[in-house]
Amino acid sequence: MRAAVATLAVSLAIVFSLGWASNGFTALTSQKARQLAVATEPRDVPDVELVMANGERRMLHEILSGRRGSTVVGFFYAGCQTICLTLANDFTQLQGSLTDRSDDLEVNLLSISFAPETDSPTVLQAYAKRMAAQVGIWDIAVIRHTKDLPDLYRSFGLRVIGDGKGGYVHNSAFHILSPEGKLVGIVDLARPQAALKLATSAAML
Amino acid sequence: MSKSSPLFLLSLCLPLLALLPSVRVYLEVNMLRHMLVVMPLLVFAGFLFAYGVPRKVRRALRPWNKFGVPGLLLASGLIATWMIPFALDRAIENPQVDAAKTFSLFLAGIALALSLSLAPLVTQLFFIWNWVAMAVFTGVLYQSLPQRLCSAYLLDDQGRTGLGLVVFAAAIGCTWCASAWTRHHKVVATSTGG
Repeated sequence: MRAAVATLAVSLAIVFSLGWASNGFTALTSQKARQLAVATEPRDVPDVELVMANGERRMLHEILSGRRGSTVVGFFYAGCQTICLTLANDFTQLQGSLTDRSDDLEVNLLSISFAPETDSPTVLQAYAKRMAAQVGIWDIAVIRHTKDLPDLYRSFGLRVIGDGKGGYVHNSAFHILSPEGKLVGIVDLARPQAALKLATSAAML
Repeated sequence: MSKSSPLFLLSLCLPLLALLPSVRVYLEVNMLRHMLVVMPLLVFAGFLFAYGVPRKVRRALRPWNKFGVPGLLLASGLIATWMIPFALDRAIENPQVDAAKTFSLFLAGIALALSLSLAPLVTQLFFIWNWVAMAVFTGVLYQSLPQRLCSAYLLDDQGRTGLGLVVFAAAIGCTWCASAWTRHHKVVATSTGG
């Protein structure tokens, strides 16, 4: 009897502990948990100062509110040879779909570099040229102050770690932002069409 | 082992040491060290600690731990919890979660030690086999996934950890087989009066 009680109690404890560890049996990774959390409750992102590829300084919220629809944001650094290439590739594809679209629902693209030490406007301009990014559809910018980074990382759920070779390793995704400066959705990399769909539906709200 | 024996004290030092802020950062800086050195050591520390538990307490716990099943269930559940990347990420980010991790793995070690001796070989086989199979599967997954599971760790670190996990699981499996073999032979020897 006592053993049965103990087994039951332990089983309950295990269900609780595994449930906690897996975001209530819905996610095994923090990336997935973050996506679910944002989808149910959009969160504010900090209004950071950016330097655009043309050297102009602008605030993030000002860029977002100045646009008609929602904005798909991706984080990168210009020297990245891994995940950012996938992101850039997806953004190119998105830009293609956006220029083809006949509806007037606007979705915009914004790449933000988190490496102000290396990514000067000149570097960004070269990057934009390489990616054939069209100003007004796909804007490219860099964070102005390094001190804004921790706050930015926290609100977007970014993780950036040095790779020991002077570069960075980081997670990346499509972040869908509303004109009000809220993060309304996160879509996995390599699923650009899903990101576009979500951004379009966010724009209709 | 008596309560004051050095091993008993040492087993207590390990989890406490692992919680010191600077030590914590060192221990968790890469995935391999965190999952295959720190976590097994914490379980092992609990295992050692269990030998210092007074006989009276052990005897009182016995009826609650029939055939060691509740204890083995607890140990496997706690260990499985900390093999989930989301839990590991939160332990790295948050010292309180990390304290919970340290304590629960230590507890898993105690439960393991108190229960293995009570469990018949078949029961042991059930739990050990389950864990080994899960760990091998996880290890292969770690090596083959193109994306990072823990946002705090690098992809090649994840691959190395995966390989390490397979090796570690195999070692645990072999160790158990060896101990089961000796235990079985002892049982056979006593039952035949030899």
